[in-house]
Amino acid sequence: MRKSFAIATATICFAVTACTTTNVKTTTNEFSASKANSGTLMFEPDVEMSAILASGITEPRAEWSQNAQANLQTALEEELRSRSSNVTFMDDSVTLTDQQIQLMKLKDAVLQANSQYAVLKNKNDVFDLTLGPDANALAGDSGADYALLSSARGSFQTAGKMAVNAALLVLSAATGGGAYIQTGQQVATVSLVDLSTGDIVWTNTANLGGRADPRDIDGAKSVAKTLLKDFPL
Amino acid sequence: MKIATKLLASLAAAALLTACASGPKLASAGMFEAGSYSVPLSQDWTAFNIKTGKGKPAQLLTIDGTVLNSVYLYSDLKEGDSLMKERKRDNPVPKFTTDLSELELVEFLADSLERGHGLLDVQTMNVEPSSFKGAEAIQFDFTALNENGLKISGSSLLGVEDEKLNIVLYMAPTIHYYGKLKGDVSAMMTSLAS
Amino acid sequence: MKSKSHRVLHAAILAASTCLVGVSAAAQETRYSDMDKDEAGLWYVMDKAEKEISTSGARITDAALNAYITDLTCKVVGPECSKLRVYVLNDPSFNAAMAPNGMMLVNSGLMLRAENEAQLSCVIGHEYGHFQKGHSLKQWRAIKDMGNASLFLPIAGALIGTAIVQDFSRDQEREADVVGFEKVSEEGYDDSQCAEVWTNLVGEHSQSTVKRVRKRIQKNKNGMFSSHPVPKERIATLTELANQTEGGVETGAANYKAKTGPFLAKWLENELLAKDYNRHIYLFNELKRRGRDAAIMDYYLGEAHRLRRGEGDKAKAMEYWQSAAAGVGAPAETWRAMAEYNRRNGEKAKALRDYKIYLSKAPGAGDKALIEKYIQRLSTET
Repeated sequence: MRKSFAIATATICFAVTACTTTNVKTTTNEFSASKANSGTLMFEPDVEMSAILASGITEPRAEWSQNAQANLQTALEEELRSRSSNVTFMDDSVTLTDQQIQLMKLKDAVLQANSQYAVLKNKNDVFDLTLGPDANALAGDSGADYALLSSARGSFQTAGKMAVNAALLVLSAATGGGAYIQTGQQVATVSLVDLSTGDIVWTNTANLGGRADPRDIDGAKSVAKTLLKDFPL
Repeated sequence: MKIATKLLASLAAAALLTACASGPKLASAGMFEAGSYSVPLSQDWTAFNIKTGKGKPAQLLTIDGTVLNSVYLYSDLKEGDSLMKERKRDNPVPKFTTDLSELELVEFLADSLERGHGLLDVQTMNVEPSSFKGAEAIQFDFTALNENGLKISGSSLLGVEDEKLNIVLYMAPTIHYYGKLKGDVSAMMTSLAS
Repeated sequence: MKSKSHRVLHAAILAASTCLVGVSAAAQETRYSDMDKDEAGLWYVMDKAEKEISTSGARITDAALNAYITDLTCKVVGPECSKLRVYVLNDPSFNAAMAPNGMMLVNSGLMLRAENEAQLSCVIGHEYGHFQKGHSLKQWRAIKDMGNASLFLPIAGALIGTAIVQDFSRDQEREADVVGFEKVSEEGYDDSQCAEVWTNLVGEHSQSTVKRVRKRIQKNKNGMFSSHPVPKERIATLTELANQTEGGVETGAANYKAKTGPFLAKWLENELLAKDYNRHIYLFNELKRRGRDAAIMDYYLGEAHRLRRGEGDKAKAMEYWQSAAAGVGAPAETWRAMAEYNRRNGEKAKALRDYKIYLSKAPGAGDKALIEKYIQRLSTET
């Protein structure tokens, strides 16, 4: 299974409240966002939605994941277009070249590094994560200037799981101990890559509360809005 | 079908990553001490304290994050020690012994990368004689794949002095990152070789 | 305009739901919506796994080998072969796996150990049996019902064969065995080969220095090969089936050896990474006895002994290398190995000679600079 993208700052919200925290970083390298003639190549969001079963196993749910993926793609696109951004889509039926495949894997590593960024003592106020100038190979035939990478991971309790949690709460209160209660969690990330330099010019990671559920279109729209709130293009 | 998604595990891991980075320090430009030797740093790095298999302290330096560039500095490893703790019970990490030949030392490091870092298909090349603080040493380059299939490049300088092993180990993704700090690492190795 | 054509494509993509590499969008939608929730979930997971595997570094991309294994698979499976996608992987564990979405994995560890086409086909046929009988879905449901969390293994990194851990019951293994056996028999192969492949495996793993490995090979439980149990009764069943039928005599041994020969050295090299030297030495001796390239086998037998570092292993290793060197086609590293041995034993002249031969056979060697240092030093000392 794909390694999950990590969170930059972890504020786990329990499903009870609708708290959402976001963490935006923009590059400190030279970057001037210009909407004129800038095309953004949007990659298919990497989405996995799972159910937490009563036993504690998380199980990916195909229709949840597909719905969430389609919804997020639509929602992100709408959100971008409402800002007059010029969006094109990565043609997924085209086989990627070896170089593009490696760049996609490097992208995974860079997003992982994003999560470690906060503890690096040498960075201070610098944010300069990049895929390197070879990243323009990701543009393929699209002629895009930027790439938008997005991902979402969510796990949701099933009715059975909620019942177990309720029972655990009761039991732990009675015994005075703390029971580990597995609640649903959701993290979504968008990153904007300048394809001429490979720099991640802007990235936002959101820990989403219960109301922003991308499995339905309204939830997805809410997620997209949250993620793209300060989008520079 | 034994499949599990890693959402919670990876969230925990992410938290752990930030937490277990307990005590990363700023390694400012200048001489950086790593046990029995020092290396010159031409820019600021972050240094993590790590441990060998037997718990001996070592250093892990990075500039952009350990998955993007890592320089491991091991000093005075003794007979029987290994670069890291075992990952899996049946998967022993190789141990340093004083009777290893130079080629076997290269093998020791390549094996450690495979068993301890989960790298695949480690290929070594450009194996050359060198020195480490005046004692005979070897230097070599390598390529590998990480668990995700991302191409990794690296280089290492290893030397044994008074039956103790010293290692400088650099690795980074081949695209963009290996080249970015190759010069910095060469400067470290050159300073140790002179 | 560029964006317009992409808009059209994008609309098509959205309409047809997600589009995955190797699977057409239209097929995708039909597949998932035709299935019940469980099956769709399992396929979705497998589709994602396939995408990972196809771009992981573990894949052996040699066109000729892929064509050969695909052909063999198609011979065994028949017209249903068009539903399958075969991936040949660099993985020393003896395993093949067929996922319910038609992805089939064949490990190099399996190809190394199979003696001939018949044996490989038996295993492929067995895996196809699981696929044909829908065992994966049944197990997926069973596991979920049991809610047994301990059965789930995290998938770390590159998804090689071990990722598809199939937890089949004894009955299911038996069913798959029968399917595999029948397929191989139909092809006109010597059907006694099916029992052979497992007998060989038991023999090899009984030699393991790891107690858990030795024990598991005896038990009727999920073994280390990602749950292929190898109980004696399965061997007995397959033997019995062979006795009951009039099988052919073809094993395809010569063709198999020729097609897999170019990869022998690499697979043996990978084998040694497991560091279970008693087992490797046993296997390598078996492979040599069965007719694999003698000089290559001798070199790696030498390596296995060198790495084992037991009493007398150094000398034994040297014997094997000398045997390899006297044969035809020994790898250049054989001379380096002998040179190292000689140098450490104080046989300077012999070491010098062997280092020189090594470099003459491998002029582009990655350790040339180091070896030249040894040559220089030895030249002044002899």
